[in-house]
Amino acid sequence: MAISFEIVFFGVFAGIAVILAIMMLSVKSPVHAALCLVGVMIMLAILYLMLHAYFLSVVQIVVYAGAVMVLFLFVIMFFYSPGASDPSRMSVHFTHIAGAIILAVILLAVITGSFLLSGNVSLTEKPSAAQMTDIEKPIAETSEAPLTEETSRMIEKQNPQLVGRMLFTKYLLPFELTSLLLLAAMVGAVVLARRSPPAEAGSAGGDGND
Amino acid sequence: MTSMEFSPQTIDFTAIMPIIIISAGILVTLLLPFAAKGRAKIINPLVALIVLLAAFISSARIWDLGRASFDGMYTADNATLFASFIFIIVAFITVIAITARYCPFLRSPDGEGLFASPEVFPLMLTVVVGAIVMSASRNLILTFLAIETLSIPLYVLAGMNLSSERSKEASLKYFLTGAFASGFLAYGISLIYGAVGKLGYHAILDACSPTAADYTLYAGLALVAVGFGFKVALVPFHAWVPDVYQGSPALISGFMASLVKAAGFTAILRFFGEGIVPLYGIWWVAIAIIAALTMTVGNLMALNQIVLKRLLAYSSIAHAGYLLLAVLIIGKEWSEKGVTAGAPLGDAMQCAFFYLAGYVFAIIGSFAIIWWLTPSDKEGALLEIDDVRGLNDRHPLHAALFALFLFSLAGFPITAGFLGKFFLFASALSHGFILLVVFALLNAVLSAYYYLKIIVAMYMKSAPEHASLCEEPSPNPWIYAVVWTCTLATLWLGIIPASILGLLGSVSVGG
Amino acid sequence: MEMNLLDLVGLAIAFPLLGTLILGLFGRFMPRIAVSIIAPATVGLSFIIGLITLFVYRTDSALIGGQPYVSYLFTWIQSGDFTANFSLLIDPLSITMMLIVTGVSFIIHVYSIGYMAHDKDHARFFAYLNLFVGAMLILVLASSLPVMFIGWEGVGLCSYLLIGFWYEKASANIAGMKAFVVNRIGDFGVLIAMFMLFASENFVSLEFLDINGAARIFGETNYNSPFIIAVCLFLFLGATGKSAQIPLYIWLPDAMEGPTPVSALIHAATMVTAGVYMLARLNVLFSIAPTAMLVVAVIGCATAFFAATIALSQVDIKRVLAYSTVSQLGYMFLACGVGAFWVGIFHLMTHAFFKALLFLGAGSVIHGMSDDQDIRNMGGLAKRMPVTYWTFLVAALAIAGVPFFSGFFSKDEILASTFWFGAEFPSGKILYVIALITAFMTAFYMFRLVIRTFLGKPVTEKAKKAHESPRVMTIPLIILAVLAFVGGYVALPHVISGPLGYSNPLEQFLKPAAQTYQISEHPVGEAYGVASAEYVETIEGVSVEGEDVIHEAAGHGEDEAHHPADISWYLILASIVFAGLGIWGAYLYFRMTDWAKLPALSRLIRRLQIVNDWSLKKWFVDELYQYTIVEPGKVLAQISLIFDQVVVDGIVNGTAGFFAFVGDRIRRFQTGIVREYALGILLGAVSVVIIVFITRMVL
Repeated sequence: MAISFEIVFFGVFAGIAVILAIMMLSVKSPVHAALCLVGVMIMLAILYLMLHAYFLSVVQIVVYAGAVMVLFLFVIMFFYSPGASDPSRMSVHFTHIAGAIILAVILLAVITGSFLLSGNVSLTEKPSAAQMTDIEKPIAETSEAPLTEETSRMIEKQNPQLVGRMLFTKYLLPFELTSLLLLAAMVGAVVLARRSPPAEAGSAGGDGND
Repeated sequence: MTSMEFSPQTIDFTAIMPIIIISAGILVTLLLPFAAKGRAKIINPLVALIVLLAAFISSARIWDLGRASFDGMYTADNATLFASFIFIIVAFITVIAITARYCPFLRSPDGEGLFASPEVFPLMLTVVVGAIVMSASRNLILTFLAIETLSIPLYVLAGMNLSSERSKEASLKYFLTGAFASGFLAYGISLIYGAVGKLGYHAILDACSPTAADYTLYAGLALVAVGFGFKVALVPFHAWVPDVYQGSPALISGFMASLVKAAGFTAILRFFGEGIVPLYGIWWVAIAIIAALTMTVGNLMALNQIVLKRLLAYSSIAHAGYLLLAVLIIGKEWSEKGVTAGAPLGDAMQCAFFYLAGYVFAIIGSFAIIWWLTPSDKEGALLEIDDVRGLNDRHPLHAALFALFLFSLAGFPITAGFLGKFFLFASALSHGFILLVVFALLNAVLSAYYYLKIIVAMYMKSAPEHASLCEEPSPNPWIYAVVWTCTLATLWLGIIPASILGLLGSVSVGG
Repeated sequence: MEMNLLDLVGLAIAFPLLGTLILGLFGRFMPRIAVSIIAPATVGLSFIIGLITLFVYRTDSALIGGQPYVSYLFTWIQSGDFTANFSLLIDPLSITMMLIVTGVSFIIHVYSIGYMAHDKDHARFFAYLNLFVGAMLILVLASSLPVMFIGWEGVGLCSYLLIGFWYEKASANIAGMKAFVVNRIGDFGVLIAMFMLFASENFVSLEFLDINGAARIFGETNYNSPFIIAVCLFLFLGATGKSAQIPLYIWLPDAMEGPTPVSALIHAATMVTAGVYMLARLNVLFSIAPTAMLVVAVIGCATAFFAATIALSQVDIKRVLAYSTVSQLGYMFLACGVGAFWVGIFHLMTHAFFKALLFLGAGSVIHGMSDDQDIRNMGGLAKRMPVTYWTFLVAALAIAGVPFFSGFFSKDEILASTFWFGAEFPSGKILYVIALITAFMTAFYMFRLVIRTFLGKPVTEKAKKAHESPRVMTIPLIILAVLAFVGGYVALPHVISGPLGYSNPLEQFLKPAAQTYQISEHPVGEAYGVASAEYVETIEGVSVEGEDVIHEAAGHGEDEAHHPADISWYLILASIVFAGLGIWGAYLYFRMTDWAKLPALSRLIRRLQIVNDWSLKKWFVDELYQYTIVEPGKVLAQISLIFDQVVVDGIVNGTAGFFAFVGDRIRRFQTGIVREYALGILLGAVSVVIIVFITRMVL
């Protein structure tokens, strides 16, 4: 089978996501960076959409691109004046960039190679039963039939329901742990953002060499 | 395996009781400070201690029962419980030690507190929850979340000394590199999921066969190893360690060097031993190379250090290298015999845990001594080898205990460190890793040099002419909790290891 | 197991350790006199327990014929099928060692009261000293390798603490460090050997009795197998470290940087004897590896010769004695190597007496000379320090091997064993010749020392003002002098004792524990294919019979007694002649200083001076080490330092110059560091993936 639309679309949106991510790191203004991040989130949402994870896709847009990023931008605009970014801090060394690019390309090549070498993963075919995800599997089993158009439509329909059920049954523990994680992150942010006492003379200055 | 019939009734609450208790403690310690003022502030650490005690008891109650919950995703077998005991004890003594800094009326001679913010208690408890789940998890999603739960509070704890630039820097560095490494871990997990469609260790175990050419899976496990390697500071994922351990308050450095490494190794042993052990033939070379690199680089770098915290940081890297031997042993043993539920863990797991226990107490003890010696009004200052010169003349007790911990780290007889190395190396040798053991032994000889350098300074050099940092060690008596517990543990494990070994002997693979 | 009086032996270890504890914790608050009583008293009690043990052991009817008794204290390690008990082994060998260690240590302790009378840190000193004795007792009484290793490490640690005791002296610090590092290299060997035995299927436990027992069975099928040779050589590596043999002897001569009683303790009673003891303890294991035995003999002989040549020209009184210790230890290893383990222990004993005496005498001289150690500044001390002189002379006569003194009997026994070894294995004759020449050199340098120090005229003002030491120091000298004289009579040569109608008591006592012959009558034989069938036969005979081992050994003893008497007499004569020549040579050399005014002779002497220079510089061995080991080590450290800067960028390295030079750069790179860390992680990740892939592909 020739290259399907799925692959073309994937390539386009994933590519845009990567470009936006790089832009996010390289632009100087924090506001622009935040906007790039919004773009990345939206691209990811599109990728979810292509995987028939409609619910997740919408959640991605609503929560990340919407709420979280708006908060982000709000904070940035509130605290930073446009010219505040220190150019010397943003400068990067050529060797670092070159090193990172070379290594990233090698990693990309190696992992792409791993798909090709594996042989049992095809980029175009539907996944076999062994490769079905935890969510697909129960439905495939209940319908007692291979994953047909009908079952996949069923998945689409039941999507939010399934995600919810999974989260509160099988994945209850990770779900709850996440809440703990977010709590800790929140507390941590508060602690670190607290105005620090004046630095003691002699203790913090140091030589910067050790 | 496919059952969808989950309901609250099917959850084994006894298995997860310790983490439920600690989680409740996190909420309480988080909310209490708003009510407690003045002398009542002691309630906060007190609650933390009670919670830890309760978690310890609830863990001890399910010893030998081999409980599992969430369809085997969370396993409270004896290995988990033994690791949990270590985490809880370490957290317990650390909390006691910082209590004096937290409560002004206890802090009589000490300066304005480093741990004055009450958030330190919930954060430490969160670390413990993360560590326990890490050691119990048999599912990559859960492991990933547990690692993050453990890490994020640590980023904050590392930056706890708000007055010190180094501390802030440590926090930021740890966070950035940690996030980067988490990326690899997540990518690795997704590749594994893509290859086998499963995240549970046992499902992965069933799915992977050494003969198939499943390169996606291999790439996945390699990247997961990178994520783990970052947590336990294996070379070349170690670069953050010296900076972070040096910048963080010494007690937190000790907490990280002991608890995080123990949790990381328990998780590694579980994943490599129960998850991808059939692929032993594929991953052992990489692990062996990393092991050799880690011990050598750690020791070589330590040779030149003069800042004690940094020296200990490199020493902890070297110890991670030795511990990797245990991963190889388990891989070899289990890939040959096959894992069956209920089977005894074998001497590999036994010696790994023994080594861990010995290492944990020696390293946290050493950091506690450094904390003890650093005057509280110079919290950010760095103790150097020159500062402890002639320490024996000034503070013989400090010197003797520090020497004991260093001897244990170096692996001298009658300390836990010696037997730990002895069991580990002997077991590795009997599994045929001759070259690696010789390498490890040479490294151990090399490492004796820099541990000894400190002991020489303490016992055989006269005090420096200029005022050294540790003229006036903090008279804070609460630090005794850490130091004496570690002393007792180090000697106990070294002289009568039979009791602990007996305990470990009954550890078996959970059902 | 019912209580036996022999179980008291645990107390012998406990007393000195208790002393350490008391003196270490409270010593600084105690009056000087209390410290001076407690420290020697603990060791004295240990000695008394040693005597009781000997008595009980000899009278215990269940323990006839050298049966070992194991005193179980507690289970140390219990792990699966591996068990290590903390128990003590009591047999003739350990009793002998225990008596030597406690006896000589006691005398040294008493002497130290006087020697350290003016040192402010004497409580610390005695605490270390007690710990040293305790560790040594653990070493010699341990019933298994791991327990022995505790003592082994403990002795190393104590030597390190004691050598560096005067930490104000930089050289003392360096010497302490050197001792420790070299010993660690040796420990590495012991550990490897221990792991090999542990991992081997054939050796079920690391108890000495089990190792020797297993070796007996194992030797049947694997006589001189590479495995056993490797184990023995690794053990021997450990022994060379502890007992200062080539190539690891370099620490011992520097070890005299510590207080003189420490030198005496290290050189005579403890520490250096550990290696010889270990070989004797594992005699059966070594016996089934003749190749390893040959290595031991050759290294021992070479060390004896080599160290003696260095001792010829040293001018520091303690340094001469230090090299003589190395040389004498070489003799002991030679004895072990040729299979005469009990002779090695015999020489160890006599050496403990006379070497302790020599060092304490030297200490007395140094004391009298107000801390001057250079023999060129002495002379004529005999009149001013008569007790020291006469006792020192006794020791010198003993070590030189003059008849009727203890050293004569033990050294003669070594020479004779080497000769008979050479008789069976022709190339071994070289060993005998070298050993004989070494005996000549020993006599020479000892008497050079005696003459320069005590005879002639005082060279300096200090020497004129020298005074005798207090009685607390001279009485130990006298006791040791008596021992150094009579010590040899416990084991007279067969050719003398035979006609007198009494057997050799020490040999009879030690033989069962430290014999070699039951496995192979000719240790080196098979390795060289000399009549190998005969040896295999011998081995089989022995292991099948088992019970008859002792009987056969006794039989061999008779064989030895049947060595032709005339040859035995010639051997004795040879050693007397060589010792005499050495003494005479030393006298001539001394007189030459007067004759040197003659022009012809002075030319000759100048030529000899070149040889002298070489010897004085210790054959440039220290320099060799400097350039082959120390310097490359520094280079390695430098490499790691550079690595440090490149990868981690800004790690402490400790030099102020470096700070000045790179300080600015580091601050500039401060923000770049995390990126580099991240790059490191990325690089690592890529490498791990690739390595895993390659492994899979190669598979």
